Amino acid sequence: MFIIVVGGGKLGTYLARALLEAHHEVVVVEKIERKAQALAQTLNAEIAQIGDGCDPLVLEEAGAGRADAIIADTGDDEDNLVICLITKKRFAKPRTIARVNNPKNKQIFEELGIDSVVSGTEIVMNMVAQEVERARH
Amino acid sequence: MKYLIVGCGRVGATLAKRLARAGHDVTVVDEVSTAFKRLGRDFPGKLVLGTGIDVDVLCRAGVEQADGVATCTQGDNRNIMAALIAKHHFKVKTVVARIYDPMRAAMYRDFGVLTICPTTVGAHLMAHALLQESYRKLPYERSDVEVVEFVASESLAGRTVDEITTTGKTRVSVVVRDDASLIPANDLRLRAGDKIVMVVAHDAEAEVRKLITPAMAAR
Repeated sequence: MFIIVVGGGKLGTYLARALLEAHHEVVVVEKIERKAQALAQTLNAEIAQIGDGCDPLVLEEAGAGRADAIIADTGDDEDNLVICLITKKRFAKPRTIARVNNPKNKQIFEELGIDSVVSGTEIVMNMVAQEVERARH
Repeated sequence: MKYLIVGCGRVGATLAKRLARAGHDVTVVDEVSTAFKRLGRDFPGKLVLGTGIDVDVLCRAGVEQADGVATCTQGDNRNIMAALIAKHHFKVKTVVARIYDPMRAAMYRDFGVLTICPTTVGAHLMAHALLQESYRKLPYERSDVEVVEFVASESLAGRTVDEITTTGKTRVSVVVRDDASLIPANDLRLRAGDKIVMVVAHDAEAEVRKLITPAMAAR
C-alpha cells in the first residue's frame, strides 16, 4: 500500500519506520524543516517532504491522488481534522485515518466522516484502567 | 437572539460589542483571559475561558441554545473545526467562520458553514481604492448572483430605473443621491453621478457593463 503520513514528530517517525519495515510505500509530510531533515536522516531521504499538510497542493504533491491511506498524526486536532477533510473532498481514493489528542474529539471526527479515528489518550487510559482493575483482584 | 463568538481578538471583540449593543445575548469564548480586556469593562455578555474546539467548553458557553455561532480565532483550522462542531454536532442554525486562506474558504462553504475571507475582501477593497473604479462588485457570498455598484454616467441621465433594468436578470436596489440612499420606484429618473447598487444574475454581467461609461465597458 501507499500511505501518506502527515506530521513527522515522534509518532510519525516510528509509524513511518514500522510501515516501511512492513514493505509499504511511505511519504511523510512535515511542515517544520528541521524535523523533516531529521526524518530524512533517520529514515529514507526520499520519503520526507517539507510542507503544510493542510494545503491541498502539498497533499497533491505528496501523491494524495494515488494514496491508499492518509494518516493525520500531528499534535493538533484541528489540523488533523482539516487534513482529513481536504483529503476526502479533493482526493476520493485514500482512506482517512486521524489521531485525536483530545478523546472527546473522537466522536466529532467520526460524525464528520473521518474513516478511522484513533485516540492515543483513550487507549492508554483504557490500558491503565485494566491494569488497575487487575491489580485489585 | 443568542450568539456565541469563539475568539476574542480584534474581530471577535468588535463583533461581540456590536451584537451586544444591538440588544443580543452574547457569549464570548477565548483561551486567554487577558483577551477579554478588549471588550471593555461594561460589556454585558458572558465570558467563557477555554478552547472553542472542545465540546464541553462550547456547552458551557451555551452552544445548545445559540441562534448563531461565529468563529474568529487566529487559526483557520481552529475556526473551521469549531464551526463544524457547532453546525454538525450541535445543529446550530447559522454558523460563520473567518478563514484567511481563500482556497480553504471556498472549500468549506460546501460543508454548510458560511465563510468570510478577509484576504479576498481586503484585497478587493484595496484594489478598488487604488484603481478608483466607477464600477465594483460588493462582497456577497453567493456564486449565482452578484451585487454591483456603479456611478451613473451622463449617458444614463434622464433614463428611468425601469429602462435600465432587465426583468429576471437585474434589479436596482438602491440609488445613492446627494448622500441619501433611495429605494427607487421604477419611474425614478436617474441623474449623472447617482451611485447605483444593482443585484445582477451571474449570467447578466454583460447587461450591466453596457450601462457603464463606454470607457469602462471597453475594459
